[in-house]
Order: sequence, then C-alpha cells, then structure tokens
Amino acid sequence: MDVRDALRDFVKTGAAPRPAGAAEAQALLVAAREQGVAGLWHEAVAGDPHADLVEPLATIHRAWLARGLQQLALLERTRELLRGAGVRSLPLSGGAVAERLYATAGQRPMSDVDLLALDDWTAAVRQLRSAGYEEEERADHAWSFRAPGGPWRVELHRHLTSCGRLFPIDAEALWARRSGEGPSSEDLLVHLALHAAFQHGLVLSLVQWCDLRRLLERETIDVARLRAVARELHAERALGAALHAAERVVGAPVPEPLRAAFVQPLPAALGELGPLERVAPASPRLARVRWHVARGRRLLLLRATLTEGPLREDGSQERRRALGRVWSLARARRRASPPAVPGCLADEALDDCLAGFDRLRLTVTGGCMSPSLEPGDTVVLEPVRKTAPRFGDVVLLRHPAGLRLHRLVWRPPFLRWRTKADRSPFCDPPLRRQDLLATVVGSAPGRVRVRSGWAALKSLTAALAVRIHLKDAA
Amino acid sequence: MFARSARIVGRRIAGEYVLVPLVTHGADLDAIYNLNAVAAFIWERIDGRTSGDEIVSALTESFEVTPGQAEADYLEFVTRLGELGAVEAV
Repeated sequence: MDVRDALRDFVKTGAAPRPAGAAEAQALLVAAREQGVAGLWHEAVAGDPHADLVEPLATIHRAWLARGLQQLALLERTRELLRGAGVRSLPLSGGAVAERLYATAGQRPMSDVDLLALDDWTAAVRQLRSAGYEEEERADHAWSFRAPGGPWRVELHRHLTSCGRLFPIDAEALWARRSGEGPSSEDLLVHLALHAAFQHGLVLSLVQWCDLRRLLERETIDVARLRAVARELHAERALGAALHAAERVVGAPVPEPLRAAFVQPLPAALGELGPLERVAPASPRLARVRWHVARGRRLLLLRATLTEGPLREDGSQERRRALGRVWSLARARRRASPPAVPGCLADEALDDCLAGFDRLRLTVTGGCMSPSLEPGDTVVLEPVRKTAPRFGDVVLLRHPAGLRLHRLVWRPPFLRWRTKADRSPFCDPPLRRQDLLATVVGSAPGRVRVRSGWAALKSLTAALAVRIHLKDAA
Repeated sequence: MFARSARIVGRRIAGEYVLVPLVTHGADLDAIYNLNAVAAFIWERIDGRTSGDEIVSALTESFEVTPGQAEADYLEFVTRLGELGAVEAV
C-alpha cells in the first residue's frame, strides 16, 4: 500500500484507510501526521468499533486541537496588538481556515500562524518587538517572530508571497471585502492558490490541498468577484493551476464557470504532473511553476528573484547584486543534465534577462579564458542586439555543453561563427547567430583588455598549429 | 454567577467535549480536560449572564436528575473549574 495514496484517497472519497498489518498501520500514522490529516481521519472513524487506530489518532487529534487553539489565540492576541498600533491585519493560510472550514482547529494543524499586515510595516514590527516578540528570520515577503510565553511563531507578512510586487495587494479593497474576521471567500481562494502555486510550486500536504476543496464545498464563490480579485492580484494563472491540482489531488469540486475561466486556459506545463507529484514531500518544480504563473510579468519576476533581498525595517527590500545567479543557474543546469535541453528554464530566464536589461554583470567560474579572465572575475555583458560582437571579442554563447564565455575567432561574412576558449587547443563547433547571446564589454579587475583582436589571432594560431600537428601525426 | 476565563476554551471533537488551556507551553496533553455530557452542558451555559439556579434548572429539564443532585453536580464542577482558573466569579 502506498500510504500517501491511501490517505489521498481518504481525503478524496472519505474511505478510511485499512492497514493490512502493524507495520502498515505505523506507516499510515506517520504519514497522516506528516500530511496533517490525522484529525480528519479520527473524526471519520471515532465511534466505529471496527475501525483501526482510533486511540492513537485520538491522541494526535487532541494534541493538534490544543496546539491549534493556542495558535489561534496567539493570532488574535497579535491582531489586537497590531490594532493598538493602528495596523489592520488579516489571517492567511491555516489561521484563516482552521475554524472556518474545519470543525475544529484539531483537524487543520499549522506550523505557525500567518498574518498579513495591511498598514504601516514599521509600526507593526515595532509594536511586536515592544510586546516581547523576538524576530527570528527575515524573508522577502515576511518576518518570522517567536511569540513571548510559548513556543509558537507568528509570520508577519507584508506581501502574500515571495516576489511580492508580482501580486500587489490593494489593502483598502481587501479590507472592505473582508468576511467576519478573515478575508472574503474570493480573496481567501486566491490567497490559498497563490500560496500553493507560487510559494510551494504546487506541492502541498494533503490537508493544505483539502483547504481548497473545503472552501469550494462550504462557501459560495461569486465568479464575477473572483475574476476581479484574481485580476487585481495578477493571480489568474496561479488560481487556475491550484484549482486544477486540487481537483486532481483531493477531488476539489471546481465549478464549471471557474474551470472555464481559470483552468482551461492553462498551459500544459502547469497540469502535467500526477496527483502524488503534487503531495509533499515531492520535489516542487518551483522555478518552472513560477515562470508559467508569472506570464506577462516575467521581467518583474526576474528582477524580484535576482535583485530583491529580505524585507528591511521600513518595509522596503534589500537590493542584491545577484544577476550572476542566472549564469550560475544556467551553468548548474547544463552540468546537471547534459546534453543541453532546448528551451530549458535557465535559457528562458537568461533570454528574458538579456531582452530586459541593457547590461548584465556575471561572475566568471572557470579558467578556460585565463589569463584574460580568471575565476572570480566579474564581466560586464551587453546583449548582442546592443553591442554586436567583433572578431576577438569574448562572447556569451550557447555551447553544446552549456553556456560559455569564449572568444570569437571566426565570423561571417566569409566564415561561419566560431568561438574558442583561450586555453583550449580546439575551436568550438560552428555556431548559429542566435547562439551568440551577449558581448563582454568590460571586466573587473580588468588585468588585460578583454576585447582583443590580437588575443584572438594568437588563440587561433595555436588552434591551427595543433590541427596541423594532429594531421602530421596521423 | 460565573464567567468562563479567556485562558481556557472548550471544543467538541469526534463526539467528546474537551477544555484546552491557552497558556501552556506547547500542546500539553495533560492539560486537556475531557468533559462528560453533564459537564459540557454546564460549561456551555457559564457565560457570566446565566445564574447557577438557572443552570441547575436547565440540568433537571435536560437530564434525568433530581434538583438536589443537579445542584451538587453543578457546585462540584464549578469548584473544580475555579481551581483550574477556568472560571471567574462575576
């Protein structure tokens, strides 16, 4: 028995798993804890004298209830504190659904409680600090605090997800639409979908998938309002992808109008995986999912991913000089999976970078261009659309083995595009024009001139000499 | 007259009623109290507005119990709750 699949089937159909023996029972219990569905399972089998594992499930359920109620009380205390500083807040994730979509908090365990601060970030942070909350971690969209007097954490969000500028919140509209103490049904659905798709690459625990199902089952979704909310947050694709996955994983009842509006327009890449590939601990294809979810805003995604660091005290974000991460990503990808995969994500990312920026800065990682370029040197690149490569230039190119910084030693109109590493005795295979991506226009520390026809001639002569030598030897 | 303390909450899970303190460190299972039907009935009516007499009267209407026994049960339970800090006199 695949225990994750058995539990998935339970969440989907309500049929409680039937372990064949003690080992399988133990495996199911462990998995039920990991997937957060032990409380739901207990609720389903309590009172059935023939059911398995009622007592251990009851123990887990009670512990989760105690923990959940304490966490929800902390959530309320924290909201009250923030209100005292004039900061409005709304619960996110587990805190928003635990007692709204489930009979008790014991059926919806949470690792921490998430709150979205809608007003002055600095005031919110200062207020929590003054109340004894200890800052533990800073991310680009939230800060994590350990609350005083207990083991529980509060994650205070400034944005719904990482790269928060991609999904801008209209605080006034969100607050005006709220339902009771939480977001409206439509906002909650979009928040859960963004969390699933963008934050976790469509890989969640079963109980998190169950959130989407329960929301669709228990609350009335106004399609027109949902469209407006999804449009406001630029979350249409994330919503479609999450609805599609929730339907496949836990049988979420996606109404036809939502399917037509959000699921059917999805690209195949967002719906290609099987149900268990969507259930933790499966590895999420985070970059790929983000790429597809951010269609039309990919440059913003790249900028946010590459240049934005953790949130500062004033709510702005640290800036990173990290465009070289694309280069590292591309090289790592090529090394990990030769031969080259046409149209792979790193290539797409690099292409978009080159299309969107006039100047990039990358770090050299190999020694094949020594002494002109040494590992650790920084090169400044300009896309070939801006600076056409000349004979002797070092260029960024798509090589059969991956991305390379090599010197251009032959070029049209009389010859084909050919490049060569200065330290290699051989030329690279002939290139197509589109494989030349960018021209190196400068380097640091700049020990020699990078753009050098003389260096190209010297390199080419060495290659020809080797070729003649090899012919002679043959 | 008594009111429930904000430091403890009651919930029904899988057919049983439990009281959970909100001030313990972690999910301490020893601190969770299972209530029987009579105790849960009383707990749900301790709201700072309903008097002890009214609760005892409701008990006799809902359970097969004499007024004397209902009053004894009520007082015993409220005393226990007071010891736990789960209720406050108002």
